[in-house]
Order: sequence, then C-alpha cells, then structure tokens
Amino acid sequence: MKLENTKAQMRKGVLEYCILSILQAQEAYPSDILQELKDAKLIVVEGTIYPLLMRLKNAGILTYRWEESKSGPPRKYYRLTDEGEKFLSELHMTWSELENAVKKTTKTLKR
Amino acid sequence: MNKTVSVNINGLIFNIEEQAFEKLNNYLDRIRKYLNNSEGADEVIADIEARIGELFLENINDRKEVINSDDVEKVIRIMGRPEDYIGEDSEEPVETTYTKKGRKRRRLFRDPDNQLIGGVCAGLSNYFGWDPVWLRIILILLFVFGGFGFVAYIILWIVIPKAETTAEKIMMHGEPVTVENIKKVVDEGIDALLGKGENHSSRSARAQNVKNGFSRFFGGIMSIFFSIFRFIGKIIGAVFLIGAMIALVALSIALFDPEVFAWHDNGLNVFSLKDAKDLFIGDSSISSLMTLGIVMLVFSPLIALIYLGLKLVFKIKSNSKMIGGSLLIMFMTGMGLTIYSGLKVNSLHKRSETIEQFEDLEWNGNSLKLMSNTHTEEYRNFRRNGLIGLDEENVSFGHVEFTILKSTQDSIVQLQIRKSSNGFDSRDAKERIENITYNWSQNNDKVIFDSHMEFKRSDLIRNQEVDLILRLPVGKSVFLDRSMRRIIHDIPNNLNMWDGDMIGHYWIMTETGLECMDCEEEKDPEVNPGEFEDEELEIEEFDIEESEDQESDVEDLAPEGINEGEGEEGAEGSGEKDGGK
Repeated sequence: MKLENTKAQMRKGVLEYCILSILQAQEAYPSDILQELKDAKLIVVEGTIYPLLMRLKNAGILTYRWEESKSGPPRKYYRLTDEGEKFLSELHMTWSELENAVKKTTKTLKR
Repeated sequence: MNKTVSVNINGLIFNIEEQAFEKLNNYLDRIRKYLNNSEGADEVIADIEARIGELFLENINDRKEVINSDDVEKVIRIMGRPEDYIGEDSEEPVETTYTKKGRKRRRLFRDPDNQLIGGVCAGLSNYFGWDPVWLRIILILLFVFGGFGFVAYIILWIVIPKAETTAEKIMMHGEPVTVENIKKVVDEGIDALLGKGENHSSRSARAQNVKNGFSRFFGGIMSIFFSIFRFIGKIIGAVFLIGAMIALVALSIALFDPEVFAWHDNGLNVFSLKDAKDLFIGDSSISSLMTLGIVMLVFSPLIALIYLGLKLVFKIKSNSKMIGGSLLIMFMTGMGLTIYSGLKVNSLHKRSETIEQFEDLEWNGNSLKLMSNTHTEEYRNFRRNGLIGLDEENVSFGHVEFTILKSTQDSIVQLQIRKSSNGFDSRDAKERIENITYNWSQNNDKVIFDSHMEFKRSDLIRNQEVDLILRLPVGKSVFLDRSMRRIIHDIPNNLNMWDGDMIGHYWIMTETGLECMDCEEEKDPEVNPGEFEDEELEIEEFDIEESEDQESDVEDLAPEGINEGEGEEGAEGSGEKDGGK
C-alpha cells in the first residue's frame, strides 16, 4: 500500500466537489480554477484538472463558452448547468454527512 | 549555441530550442497515448496545450525570448506526468480485479498471439471472455453447413484490426494501459499481466505449434486474397467511374440538345425529346420543372457513382458525409420536383370524356373485308414514326383500336365509333374530342379504316383515343386483312386466339361468339389441299409485303398497290368461299 496512492485517492474524491463549488460562485476558466485549487493545496500537478473538466462536461454537469482575452488566445469559461447545480447540492449534503462522520470517528485519534 | 524552432501553441508563437521541442512533443504524445481515444481526448489535449502556452508566456520576457529545456521541464513538473493523473481521475477503478471480467472495458482486436488463421476467433473470445476452441468449433460447423462461416470469417478478418502494439494487446484484454502494465507485458508476456498460470501457457504453447503450420499456409493464401480483393475493388471503381461518366454525358446530350436524341425514320428526324415534352406536357413551366427534377433525380446517383469510383480507384479520402448528404438532398429535391410536376400533368388529364356515334353498314356479297390504310398518301407529309406523326400544325396519332362484338340487334351490322380524350375539365376534354378527325370509308364489301386519327398540334396529346367496335349479328362474317394488324385489339373469339393470329382469316359470328371459318383447314392442308392452296399463297404474298413494310418502318409503301392487291385477293378469297359452300 503506497502512501502517495492513498493520499491521491482521498484528494480525488474531494476535488470534484471543490471544482464545482468554485464554479458555482462564478464562471471561471481553467487557470483561475487551478490557481484556487493550488492555493488550497488540493492538487499537486495541473494536468489533473483537464480530463476531469472534460468528464464533467461530457456528463452534462458543466458547460463552457469561449471568451476573447486581451492577453492571448480565447479562453474557455466554465459554468455549472442546471443539472450541475443539483449534482452539487447532492454532493454538498454528502460532504456534510461525511464531515460529521469523519469528525466523530477520528475524535480519539492520537496525534 | 542551440538551434531553435518556432511553434504555434494555441495561437501564440514561441521560439523554442530544438531539444526542448522534442521533449515537449514527447510529453504531449505520452498524454495522447494515455487518453487513448477517450471521449473528448483531442479537446483535453488542446486545453493542456493552451495551459502550457500560458505557462511559457510567464517564463519569457524582453531579455529571455527562447524557451529552453529547463522551461519545458518546469512546465512538465507543474502539469504533472500523465501516469500521475490520468489514471487517477478516470471513471474506472485504478486497480481492476481480475475476477470481474465482465466489467472490464475491452476492445476488439484480432489476437496475433493466439491465432490459428487470422486471429479472429482468438480476438472475439478475448473480447467476450470465452474459450476460443468453442468459437472455432462453431465456425467450422457453420463452414461445413452452407459456407456461411467462411464468408463471416473473411469479413471479420477484414473488418477487425489486428492488435499490433503492446498497448492494443493490453486493451484487447481490457486491462488499463499504464506504464507498469506495458513494461510487464514487454518483459514477461501478456499472460503475466492476465495472471494466468500454467494452464493458459500450455494452451498457448499448443496453439503455437498448430499455428506455425496453419497460419503460414493461410496467411499466404490470405495475402494473395487481399491483393486480389484490392485489385477487384479498383476494377469495380473504374467500371463505376467510366460507366457513370458515359451515362452522364449521354443523358446531358439527350436532355439539353433536343435534336440529337430523337426517333428516326428513314434518316429523317421525326420526333425529338423537345417535341415530346411540348406534346405530352404542353405547359412550359411544368415541363421545365419536370426536366429539372429528372436531371436532379438521375444525375445525383450518377455523381455518387463517379465519386465512389474515384474513391475506389484513387483512394481519395474526403468528407464523404458532406458529399453524400448534399447528393441525398439533391436526389430528394429531384424526386419532389418530379412528383410535383407529375401530379400537375396528371391534373391536366383529370377528366375523361367519350362521344359515340353509330353507322350502319350494308353490302352485297358474303363477308365484309376489313382493312386498314396505314400508308395513305396524306400521311407522307408528316415527320412520323409508327405511333405519332407531326407536321407544323397537326398531329397524327395512332391510338386507334378495333374490335368485334356480337350485335344486340338482329341482322343490322353497325360500326360504333367511340372517340375519347382527357382534359382538365369536361369541356376541355369534349373540345378535344370535337377536334379529332378520324376517317374511314366503305366501298361495297370493303371497309378501310385509317390507322391514325388527326388533331391540331395545339390540342396536345391527352390520351385521345378512337375505339372502333363492329357490332356483328349472328350469321354475318368478316375477313380480317393483314393490314388490320396495327389496329385490332383484343377481339374476343371462340378459339381464344391472339390478335396477331386472327388476321388473314374469315370469321363468322355465332350464338357463342366469333368462330374461325378457315383456320382448321389451314392447319391441316391434306383435308382439302386444292381449294385453299391459292389462299395460302396469297397470305404469304402479304407476308412479304408486310415484312417490307416493317423494315422501312411504316412509311413508304405505295398505298394504291396495297389497296389493289388486297382488293383482288379479297375478291378471290370470297369467290373461293362461295365455291366452297
């Protein structure tokens, strides 16, 4: 059992939830999202996000539009679809339950 | 000193050292391989490229204009190696357990490792998780009973790609393509990855032994078969191409040059497509619509054939969906136009009207001689073929039908002349009927019918018809001259004879219908040879004249000659009949 692997698995589950939360607040293009995620130390390598965004888009949870940019080529701005909103609120509930559960079960953890 | 190349990344131009470019290219290739045709892979690559472009942009400034290896390595560190993240977030679990075979997403390839002939059975059983032996047995049974198995095998062989690379072999077994897996397979073989023990290996070895003989033999045959197949494909393509082009040219000429394709008679241009359109449709807007519709309807499949031929012969790769789609639209539009204009034409024919008149026929002598003058002088001015003749003003139209029915009245022979025509309404149709000129004449026991009616060209052809019905009372008889051949139509008779066989004979009306008076004797000349010999000869003379007539295609026999000849023969015939009785 590799430690890195387990860490990555743990992060991965939360990653989707966080990305959707960022996009619920406002439309964003991948570099914005990356910046927030990196600030929060949620991802290590940037490449992770692109296949994930594609998968969410293909699942109809996200959609994007192209926007001209002053400093370079056009950018993709992602936002949640209606389905995405529902999806996110489900995730949110699950996360709250999970948070409580984890807090309860790790209360006695020795640090 | 380092050579640089300039690259376009998502619309931005960068100067990049050659070595660094190689590195970057390798990196992107590796990502591509990892994504491996998953949905939206190209888009993901494009997004990643765009991000790399942004990161490069942060690394260059006025003093540093060139991207070097260090920059690329830095970017790769930021983006991460594909094996670090792609497997990580894919839907499929990272570690597939070998027991859950059904849930693994396999891809269908021919399996070159376990092949006997082409690896089709091995590939299929990999895909479905069966033992290839059973599939092979089924296939052999199918081959023995009806040969279907052979055809199916060949088709599958052509259609299914062979697993060439290690990655494809791994996908074939439904395992995730990762660096570890590839390494494992390359080092230890595919069986190591599949976790199969001795059992499989021994089967594999067995297959290997059989394979050497089999696959060398069949492989040789197949490569010959494939080259023949390709060659035949090219030939078919060439045939499509040439045939369709010839048809296209011929049809274009026929449709757009009205004088080239026409019915000819004695070298005279009698009847062109333009004439046909003018006569049968009349309304120029409808006829143009119909022409357009037919052109689209006929040309679109021809163009498709040419395109297909080009593809087969020259292996052109192009956007066949677009071409196919527009050809289909063209075809449908053509069909629509043709149907629409057809319905329009039909509406011009909507109403049919008939006007009848009766003429009493009386004569001295026994049988009434019925003949037709296909060749009278007055028709010679027409440019004509058999059915339709034309001059500037008039049309001669051969829609004349003659039949004989039993009279309902006693003893009076009547000729019923029924003229009919179509029109868009009743009045239109009746006007056309009024305009029909139909001539016939009687000279004692000879009745001569015109084979054609005449009407003004401006009346157009609207199914004008002249029906002649001879109402024959019981006991009266007629002789059907050979010249009647063109106009007689379904004359009911007791012998159930065809029209063509009825001519040249005497017919008498009985209570039960028309009876032949001289057919049986003719069939059996020994019964009464002397009496009918002459008549047979006469009939043969007619044959000769008639066949000449056919060769020159209707026009040029002197009408007097025929009439005289028929007159004499008719008289002789009836004389003999008299004697016979």
